Amino acid sequence: MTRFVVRRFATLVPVLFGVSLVAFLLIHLIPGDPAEVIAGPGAAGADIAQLRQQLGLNAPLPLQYADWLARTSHADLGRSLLTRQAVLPELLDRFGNTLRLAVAAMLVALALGLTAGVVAAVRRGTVWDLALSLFAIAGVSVPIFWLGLLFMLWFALNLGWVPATGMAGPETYVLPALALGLNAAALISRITRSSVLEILGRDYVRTALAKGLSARRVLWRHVLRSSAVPIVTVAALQFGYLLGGAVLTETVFVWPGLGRLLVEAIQRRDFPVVQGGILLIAVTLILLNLATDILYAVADPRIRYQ
Amino acid sequence: MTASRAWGGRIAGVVWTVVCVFATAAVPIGAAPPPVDYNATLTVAQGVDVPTLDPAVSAGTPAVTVRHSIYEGLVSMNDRGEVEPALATSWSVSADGRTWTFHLRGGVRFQDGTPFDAAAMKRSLDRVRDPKEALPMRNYFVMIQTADAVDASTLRLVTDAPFGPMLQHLAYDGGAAISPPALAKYGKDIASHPVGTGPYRFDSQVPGQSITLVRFDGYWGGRPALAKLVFTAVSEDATRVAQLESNQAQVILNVPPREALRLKQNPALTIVIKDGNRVAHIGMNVSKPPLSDKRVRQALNYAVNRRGLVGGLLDGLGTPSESFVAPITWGYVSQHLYPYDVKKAKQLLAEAGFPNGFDTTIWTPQGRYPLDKETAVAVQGQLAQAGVRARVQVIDWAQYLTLLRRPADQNTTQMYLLAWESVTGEIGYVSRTVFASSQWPPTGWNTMFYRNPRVDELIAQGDRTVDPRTRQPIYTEVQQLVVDDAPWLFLFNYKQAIGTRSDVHGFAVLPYEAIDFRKAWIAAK
Amino acid sequence: MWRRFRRNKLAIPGGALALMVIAVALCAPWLAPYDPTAQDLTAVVQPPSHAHLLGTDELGRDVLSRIVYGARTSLLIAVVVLAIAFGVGTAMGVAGGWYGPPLDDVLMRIVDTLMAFPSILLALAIVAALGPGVFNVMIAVGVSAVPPFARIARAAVLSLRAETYVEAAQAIGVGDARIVLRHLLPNSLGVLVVQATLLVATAIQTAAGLGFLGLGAQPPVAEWGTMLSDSRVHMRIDPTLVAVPGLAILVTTMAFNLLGDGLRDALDVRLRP
Repeated sequence: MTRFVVRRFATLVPVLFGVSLVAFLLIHLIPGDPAEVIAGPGAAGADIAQLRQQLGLNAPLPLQYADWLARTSHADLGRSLLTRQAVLPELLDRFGNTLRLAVAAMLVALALGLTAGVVAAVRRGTVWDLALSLFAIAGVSVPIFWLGLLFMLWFALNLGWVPATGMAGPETYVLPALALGLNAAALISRITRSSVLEILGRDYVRTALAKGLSARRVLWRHVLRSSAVPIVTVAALQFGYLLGGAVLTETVFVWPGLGRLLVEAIQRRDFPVVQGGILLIAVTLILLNLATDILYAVADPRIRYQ
Repeated sequence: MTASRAWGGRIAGVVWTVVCVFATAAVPIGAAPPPVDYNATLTVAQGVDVPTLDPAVSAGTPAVTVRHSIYEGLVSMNDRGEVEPALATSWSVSADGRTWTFHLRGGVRFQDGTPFDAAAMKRSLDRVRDPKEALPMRNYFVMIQTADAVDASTLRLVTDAPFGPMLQHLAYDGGAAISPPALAKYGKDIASHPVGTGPYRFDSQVPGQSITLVRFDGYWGGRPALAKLVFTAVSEDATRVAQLESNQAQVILNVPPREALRLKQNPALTIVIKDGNRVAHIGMNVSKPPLSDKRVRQALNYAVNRRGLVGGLLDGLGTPSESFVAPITWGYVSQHLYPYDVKKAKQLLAEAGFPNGFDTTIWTPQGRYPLDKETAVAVQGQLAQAGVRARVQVIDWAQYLTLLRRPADQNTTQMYLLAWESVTGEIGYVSRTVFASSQWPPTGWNTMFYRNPRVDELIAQGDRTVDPRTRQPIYTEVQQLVVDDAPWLFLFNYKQAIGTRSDVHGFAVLPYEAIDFRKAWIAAK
Repeated sequence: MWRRFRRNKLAIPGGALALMVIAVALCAPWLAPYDPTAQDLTAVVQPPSHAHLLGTDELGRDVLSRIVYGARTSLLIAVVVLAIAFGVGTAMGVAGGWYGPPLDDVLMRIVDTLMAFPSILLALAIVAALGPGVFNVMIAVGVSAVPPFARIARAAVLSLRAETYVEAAQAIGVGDARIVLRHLLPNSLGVLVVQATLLVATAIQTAAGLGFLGLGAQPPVAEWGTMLSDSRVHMRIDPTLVAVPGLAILVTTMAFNLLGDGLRDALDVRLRP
């Protein structure tokens, strides 16, 4: 087991290196000058040039990359070109907001998805099953930003039940978490359904039911426990997807998260922010994938010996 | 009692009653304003975020609005574009027009307690003028040769040549007085720890969401009326409007035109519509054919239906352009050229050798100005009627500026959408920055590569003229020449729609579209 | 196989719907009542009416026509994305699986690196680099869709490589390429087809998302995501403008998802790469 984990960690290093390279190159190869954006229309050409010099943008690219890598290893991600504030604290702060939203969405997804999946499995073949399957596919297919806009229109702007945008108290989480979580809920419901169905067909379950245990108890103690692993792994993968989907949700709901920050930073070519942000997200996802792989390995010994 | 005396008493009684009735009725008519709620919080929802509170870094009008509540300069501008005393109570300019002497207000303290004096003002001005700091606002003060604190309450500025709009430049953002100890302590981080002399001091900021200011009790101008002043960034138009309706925000900016009409019906709300100073136009690179031919440029101007654009796109929240600045900018004179006339456009094009029109590209940003992309597409549709086949290309802002400012031999610009605003409230700024031939890229912003020697001459003259009465005729001629030369496809001037709750008073909408909240107050219920 | 396809109750409607969308896209010029780029500044943001069944947008253009042409744009993007992802991804996977390390390691590290980024962020960064426009959207979404194809192709190659008939073929001197093309690919075709169908759904979604962020097709090309983004301002006055493009994206994506699911069940494949 330890050998497996160590080996997986070893493959991390080149990937991390590649990710940092991509993060750096991607934003630097995009045409556009952050000094122009910061100085704005009206600034003298000489001042823009001076600003560019001051921001260290004239150094050759490999040098800038090496410099950035060196500083990153000391957990110093530099300063935003526009606000001159340290990048890492702001990234972590905004990432925290995105994580909060992702967790809330995950809770929604689990609550809705598990329920729907179990109901569909238990009532297999009926109208319920078909309807839930349809909803599941719809849930996966619906564009998040559209759903978010509609929710905002109906529940916030027209009915006034919850605030429309921004992040404040718990009521501001409702709409974004719903919009973001519905997608994942759909997927979880399908995995749950097939998992539960598979286990319901197993002998020990039939025996338990025959022995007179209530259906609900059987469900809880045996079925759900056994289906936990595939559901959890899908959930973990979905978390990664949630982080990506947050970009669109944050834009619609004006959520002060990392996704929105990245979109804005890319638009104004704030190199340190974009580089740091992409790195942070990628590292998180890599670690998440690693954790999922380890979880798989724990559950299925065959995988360890690949 | 005799009969006459009884009558007199009755008449006196009637007269007295009448007087009393009128007196009580007259109270609401000539009433004192409703009492001020000194515990009120005013929340202002703007459309974009404020990335930095450093007054020397240009960051858009919302940033200027916030900074105006924290910082003050020597002078300030009011909503009519007039310069008023702020930290300077009076000033004079020498006979040769190069030396400005400011007498500073006494008893002023910064928000951290530091006393304000000429040395502090000098420190701030030196900072923004310092080439090593590379601050974007340096360009506004580059004409100042020296800034001297003659004594604690007198500041003297010497410019290299007489400079007409000196006061207007000082009234804008970059001339703010920053507390010297704060500058020393925070250095670059002054952007997130602003300390000025204004009525509201910085309390906290949630990046990307809101900035909270609180009352500064030591303000020289008397007790500020609001306990808290909060600026939030709400980019979704529909949400901003909803916040106003639910009193989550008491003032909102950039109300969409159709919403403005709807909100006006609501008695709890007041919609203020002001002329803006932003002039939307499509600039043309005149260094290459066919746009190098004046007839072609004029033809394009005839082919555009400005009224239709204002009516259809802006829903009336704008005015068709008649010059290269807006009517609200000092110096504006309407030129009355280029009515909508497609036949004339085709005729001019034929004369210039393009009877079947020609192909061109219009660049446009997206989301930078209200309905910018839509404007470009609308113009594309209109030009097609005159036979000009334009292709619209959306380019993101960071690249936009870089592309426009490539030097002439590398520049591929044909037509581009832009909207200049006269941040100094007077016409000299745009004239000098955009139409002077010395400002061809990469030095400056004459991105049309326009050259008219007479215009250059006039602009230089206008800069050196300090007396507004002698300045005006100079710029009248500049406008005539520029509109006739048509380096721009003139479009329209935006109007600003601001939504407020009806119990909010005292704010001033400045000519450069920022809002001065220093004297804002909310009526007590 | 066809029988199992038919048994999946949702697959048939899905397939039919997908065909309908494709038909609409192909017949756009005959179906659209107006030119999708024809402006009318006097009839801006009109609700649905006799003249304009779905109303008009902020430039007075007919919404129905723009939806119809939008189908074209979306499907065009999906097809090119498929070509890129399929072509590049399969090539990478096959090469890696067949030739083994060190090429395999390098290629798989690249794939892992690509997979480390959420696809929309990757696509976003690429489009920001190349500039908005339909072509660049295709490249961006295509690149971000490469990893699944690469992994599937590689897994297929690895598992089938050990088969005896392959060894036999090699023994008698059949060229590598021939073995791959004649034996390996046809065997994994099922998996690839399912993945392709599901990819069409994802591609349309991601492209619409990019359009929503303002990085999609250039005006005046009609694209559903861009239409959605442009109509946000008028959301409360004319909700149709927001509802309709989203519905179009939903229906199309659903159609291809249903189809892909049905195919997967019918072919009884499991997509564990």
